[in-house]
Parts: sequence; C-alpha cells; structure tokens
Amino acid sequence: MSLEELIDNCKKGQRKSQEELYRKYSGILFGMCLKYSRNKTEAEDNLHDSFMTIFDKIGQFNHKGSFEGWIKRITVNTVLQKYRKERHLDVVTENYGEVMDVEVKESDISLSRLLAYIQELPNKYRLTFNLYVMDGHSHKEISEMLGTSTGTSKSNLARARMILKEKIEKENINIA
Amino acid sequence: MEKNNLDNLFKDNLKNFNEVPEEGVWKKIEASLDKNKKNRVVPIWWQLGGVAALLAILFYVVNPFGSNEGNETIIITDIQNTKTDNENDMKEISPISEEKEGVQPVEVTSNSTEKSKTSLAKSTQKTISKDNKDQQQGLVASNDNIKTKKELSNRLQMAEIQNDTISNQQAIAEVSTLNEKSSLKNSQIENQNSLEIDEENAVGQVDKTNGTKKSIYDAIAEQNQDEKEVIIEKNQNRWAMGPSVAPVYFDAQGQGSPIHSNFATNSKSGSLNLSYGLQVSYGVSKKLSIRTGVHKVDFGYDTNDVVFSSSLQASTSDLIDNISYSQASRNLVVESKSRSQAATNDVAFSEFNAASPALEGRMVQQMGYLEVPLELNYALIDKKFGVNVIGGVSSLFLIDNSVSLESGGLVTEMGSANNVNNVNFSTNVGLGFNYDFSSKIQLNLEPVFKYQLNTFSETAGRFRPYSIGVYSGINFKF
Repeated sequence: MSLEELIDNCKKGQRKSQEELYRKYSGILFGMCLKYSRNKTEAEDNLHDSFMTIFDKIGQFNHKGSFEGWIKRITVNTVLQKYRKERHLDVVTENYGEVMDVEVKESDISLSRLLAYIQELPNKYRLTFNLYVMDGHSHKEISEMLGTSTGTSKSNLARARMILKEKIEKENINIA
Repeated sequence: MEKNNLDNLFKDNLKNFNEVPEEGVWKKIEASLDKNKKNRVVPIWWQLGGVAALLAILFYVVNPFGSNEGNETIIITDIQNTKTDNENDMKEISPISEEKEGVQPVEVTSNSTEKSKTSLAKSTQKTISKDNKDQQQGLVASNDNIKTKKELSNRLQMAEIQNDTISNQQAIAEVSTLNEKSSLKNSQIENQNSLEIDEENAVGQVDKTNGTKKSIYDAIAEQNQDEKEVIIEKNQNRWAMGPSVAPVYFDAQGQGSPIHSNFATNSKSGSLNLSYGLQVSYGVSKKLSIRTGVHKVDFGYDTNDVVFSSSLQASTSDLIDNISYSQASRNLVVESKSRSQAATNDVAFSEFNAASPALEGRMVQQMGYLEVPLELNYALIDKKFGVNVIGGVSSLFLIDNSVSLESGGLVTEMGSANNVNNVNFSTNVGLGFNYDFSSKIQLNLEPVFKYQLNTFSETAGRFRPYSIGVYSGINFKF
C-alpha cells in the first residue's frame, strides 16, 4: 500500500491503517518527543497527544508537501502547546536518577547522556535549543512559536548552551 | 568548548534520533480513538434522534427515491458463481448490509481466490482487482441497471459499463476504490466473468462466462482517467435530505400598493414570518448539486396609517375592488389617513365622519404559500466547513390569503385579496454555509434573497415584493 493510500484510509478512519501509520512514524516522532520533553513519561504523553491530533486532522492533509514534515510540525506544536500552558512551572526538574538509571550499551552512552542533558534543561531552554539546533528554526520563528521576543530567544539559547557545556565538562572530568 | 562544537555534538548525535515507543503507547492511542468515536457519534444521535425518527416516517410514507435507489445496497447480498470453468471455484460472498461492512466481504473474496485466476464481473461498476502479490483477479460489478444491456455480459466493454452505471451505490463505490488502484497498476486479466444480478430476488447471481482479456485491459487503460474522476464522485453521498427552518422577512421595493391606489403613498412595513419544510438535494458532480423540496412559508406586510370606520349605508363605491370582503365586513370603509384628512375639508364628508368616528390603524395583508424551490448549489469551498452559492427559482402555491385591519389591540377581518395569484414564482439567490458533523450529517445556514415575480396580478404603483430568509437545517446524506 502506498503512503497516499494509507493516508486516504486513515482519513476514512480505518483502524488498521491508523495502526500501520503509527508503526511507520512512531519511531521518528517519539525521538522528537524525547528531545522536546522532560522525561520518557512525558514524551509518551506527548506522542499520544500528537497522534491524536494527526488522526483528527489528517483529513486536512491534501498530499501537497511532505507528510513527514506535516506530522513533525504537528508534534512540535503539540509539545509547545503543552509547555506553554505550564509556563509557571518553569523550574528545573530533578530527574537525574530516573534517566541515568537506564542501562545502555557502551557504544551509545554518549547519545543517551546527551538526550538526558537536553531533557534536564528547563522548559524554555530545552524548547529553544531543540527548535534552533535540531530543527533549524530562526530566532524570529522561535519567538513567534513561543510567544516571546527574539532577544529572549537568543538569551534562552545562550543559557541552554552554557548549562549543556557545564554538564559535558563535568562528565568529561568524571570519565577522566 | 566552542559553541558550534557544542551544537554539532548534539545535532550530529540527536538530529535524527529515533526510538520505538513501548507497545502501551499505541494501546492508549487506540483507546482514545475509540473514546473519541463514541463521544462524537452518540451525542449527535441523541440530539437528532427526534429528527431522524421523523425522517424515517417520512421515508416510509413518501419513499422519494423509489425502489430502484433504495434497494441497491441490498442487491449485492449474495453473489454466487453459477458456472465455473476448471480454473474457477465456487465463491460466495457474504451478505453486505452496510457501507463499511461492504468492503470486508470483497476483500475476503480476494484472499480466497488468490491462487485461482479469477475475474468476477459485478454490478454497479466494474472493478478490476488484483492484489499486491501479482495475483490476478478482476472484480467487475454489474447491477440491474445493466440488465438491459445484454451484450455486456459477453463483451464486457468496460467503457460502456462505466458510463451506464454511473448511478450508484455507496458500498460498491467503496469497494471499487479499494480494489481499483492496485489492480490498474499491474493487472493482467486472464479470465473474466460477469455477474448478473437477479433483480426480482434481490439476490445477485454471478454468472461466469469467459471473455477476451485484451478488450478489458485496453478498456481499462483508456478509462483509467475517467474512472478516477467517477470514483471520486461515487464516494460522495449523492443524496441529501433534511428539515429546514427559516425566519423570513417579506417587504417590497418601490412605492405602490397591491390593494388600492389610495394606499400607494402610505408607508409599508414588512413583517417577519416563519418558513419551514423539507429539502432534498442530489449531487450532480462533486461541486454542483441540484435541490428541491417543499416549504410552508407565510408572507405579510402592513400598510400603515390607515383610517377605517363602519358605514351604515355601505355603497359599492366605497369598497375596494381588489378585496373580496367577508360578509361581516361589507360596511367597512377603509381609507388612507392622508386622503381621509383631505376629505374632512369636504363638507359632504364631514357629516359622515362625525356620525361614525374613524379608527386609525394599519391594514395587514397575509399570504401563505407552499413553496417548491428548484435550485442549483455550487460549492466554492468544499471541506468540513463549506461555502456554496445558491441560485434558482421557486414556485409558490397560494394556500392562505387574508386582509385584516388592526387598531390598538383590535383585529378586524376584512376579507381576502382577489388580486393575489394562485401560483407565482420567485428568483432566488443566496449563500450557503455548511458544516460537516460527519460524512452523513451536515448543518446548513443559508441566507437567501428571493425576488417575487408575480405575486399580484395588478398593483397600484410599483410594488415589488421580495423576501429574505435565513434558512438553517440539517442534511442527512446517503
């Protein structure tokens, strides 16, 4: 079944096709959610909400442009919406134990560590860092998405970099 | 560490970071999808339950679509091969009762016949199906519409079937869409059979006959493009029906009076009435639909500043020609206030006026019609929220006609106007806004301007009535 057919069947609400679509894209989107969320549990919640929106709005996708790009945008928006709502909770969450306890192979230690560092960043820093570094948005775009000014966006990015840098240096000392 | 190095470190490692979520996430999504489905469907049906029941009764009584349309979903209930050659097995397709379920049985057939090279010709439309694993099958649907074309069962000129069977049926349309695409890409049809449906029993009997594969294949190629368009149309619910209700404002342009020239200069005020009825529409194409219906509508307007009194010596000269007076109101004298004031200067009238004091008030003319519109509806925006342009004509049949006088809280019947045409027409222009609750239910809101062409057979002055109504209603598509 082509992607187009799969999408059309999802538009009709066919559960099998919805599942197939989920299997096809959940990996990519969960990866995104992990980067944009504070921890795995929240990432799963965000993935859930994103797919609900995708299935709800899929009727509006008209096969112009990339479907993957479309669902990624929905996912980012879902996450942003969530953390915009809880702006007042914008404090660093102490989640070291949970994330670090995950057993990993030596070869990808750095990757899961890096992910953990991002997740540990306060909301605004994490979202800004991801939008700027991972997804290549400009400060102007980010300020619009987060409802702040470009100046705030720039300073958020700088703070995010500083925190990440400190963590990496600390880690390097530990390893050494 | 340099900023860029830091960015790159994260970007290189995590940009395309991919992780498969745990199985539980899908389970939750599935549960939420189920919940949404229920939440969405149930309340609407509760709310619309009454309307649906009403419609069901109407369908039962009126049956506006005749047996031809209505029975089609049932026709395909059983499909059997009556003749088989050595390559074909007997196949039975389980009953199809609903649109959605309709898809399933055919898929089952596809699977069961995977290994045998079988083509089935089936009624409403032809569908050549072939599964992804290079199994060859043709599913061609033929229904009673085709019955008259006997040669089709032998030749199966796809083009003809296509054209002849454009009228359709939802279940088959869905089935065909499913099967069509894969089949057209790589089909090699070796055998083909046609199904003839026994109309009287409403049970389809599949009659397999050998045909030439080449003709089918060629025909498919030629029809490929047309077919896609036709299928899109078939997927729509062509018929829609539903109740509609509207506040209707009736007024007139220009000075004049349909009652008497005396009242030509009097101010008139329109009145607000209710229109309600049932409308039916049929989709000619994706964008264009034609519709009709029956609406009960009342029109009325007031002639202000009227003076009336009762005269003991009613003379024919005092009566207004355009009104057929009721027995009790024969000695009413009705005049325009301005004329009445002018008349008081006349010595002959002053006595008369003194004898019977006149009441000031307004003259109310009411007309009730059965309106049968014939309108075209063109979709400018055809999405969940749609915008349409509506244009057409209405025939109005007079069923109620009265003229009365109102003064203070008193109402006096005068009679009925005799210059109101029993049948008149209006030209209608409007905008339609609709919102799809589901693929079956649509909410409409339509402001429509209707210019009345010949409401009155004779009017004094230029009295051009029109009406503006904001029609709202629910359409059920099927």
